[in-house]
Amino acid sequence: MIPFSTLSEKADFIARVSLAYGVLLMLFFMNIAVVPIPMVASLDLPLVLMAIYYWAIHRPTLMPPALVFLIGVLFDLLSAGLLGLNALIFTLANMLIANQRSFLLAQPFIVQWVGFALISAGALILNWFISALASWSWISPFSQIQDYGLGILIFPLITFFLHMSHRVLPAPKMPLTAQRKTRKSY
Amino acid sequence: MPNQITGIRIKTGDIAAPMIETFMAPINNVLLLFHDVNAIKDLREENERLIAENAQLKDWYQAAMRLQAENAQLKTLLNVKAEPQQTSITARILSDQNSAFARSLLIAVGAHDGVQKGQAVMASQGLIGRIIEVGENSARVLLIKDINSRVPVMIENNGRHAIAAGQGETIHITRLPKEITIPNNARIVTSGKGSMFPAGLPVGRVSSDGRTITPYADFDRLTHVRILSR
Repeated sequence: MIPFSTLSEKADFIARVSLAYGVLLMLFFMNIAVVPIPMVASLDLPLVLMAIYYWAIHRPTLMPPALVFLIGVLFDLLSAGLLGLNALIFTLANMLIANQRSFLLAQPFIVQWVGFALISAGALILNWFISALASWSWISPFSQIQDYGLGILIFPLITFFLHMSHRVLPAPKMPLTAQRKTRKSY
Repeated sequence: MPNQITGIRIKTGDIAAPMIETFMAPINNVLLLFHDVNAIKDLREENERLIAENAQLKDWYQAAMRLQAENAQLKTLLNVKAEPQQTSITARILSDQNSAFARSLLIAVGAHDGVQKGQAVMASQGLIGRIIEVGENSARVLLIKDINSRVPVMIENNGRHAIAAGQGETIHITRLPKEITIPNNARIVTSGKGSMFPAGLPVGRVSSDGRTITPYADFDRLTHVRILSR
């Protein structure tokens, strides 16, 4: 538990964290909901995957694996796809990014962008392969490849919003050893 | 177990439906504002197109009225029992699973509004799918493009029966002997076989390869659908 000296500090903390989860919720709904604009309504962009990717690199404590899995299950339930498919893809992506976190965190944005393109491609291939296997039929991935390309193009825009919500988040709690080192350096 | 999963899906849809509506309302308004500003420059062209279409539709309206009157007269002469009028419910689409691997819609009407499992769902131009799950305030539509969708159809010009099978992005005509050729642009309508759909609902027209259906409904522009009574 984070100690708060006053009630206003606690309210401030809750508001800041809620904003980050609010952005996540917005991306989740935008991913599954229909927007009333022709052509845009038919797009299937990996908006939730972008949020998972961003937070797994910049603030993994905000989206623990259990939450990522739950988001995937909710996504599957609301989209009526194969139950567990997106839960599996999101969890695997989260694990993979967590594994490469220290590398990605030290890289410039362009490398993180390429990293997302690779993760997103992996997610697309896995989704296509399992869906085709489950239905035992050939499914053309053409339209999904188009959406994949568009998803990569808008990644910087979505990252901008995620970055804005990240900036208002309270600083992560440092372990005691790190705190002692910081004090010594002063 | 599958029934339990379906139950959980329905409950999740019922809970999420009002949340999606509330949450998306301001986002949709902002998006529509941008869209409207962009659309202003196309208004003149759109207006000319609509005037031409309106003139054409007026001609069709006159023809339809004439045919309806003639039809009614002939039915009276032959003492044909009139079929009950098809009624429908219009619903807004809440959520759209639009990946090529699964095609379905979550709509904002449910059992409370009289929706039942199996009802045909139409866009303004043609059939788009059928109701597969019904919650209290939401329902799930399986689109005819989905890989699990099979619709009994009829080729209008030769009366041949077949099955329209969804392939994710396209719809194929199956269960039709290979030697039977279907003319390009032939109209495909529901056959009514198996009492799955009412007969005669427009599905699409046959593409140049003779085995693929181009649906009448524009799946990229769906925002509202009509659910036909059974």
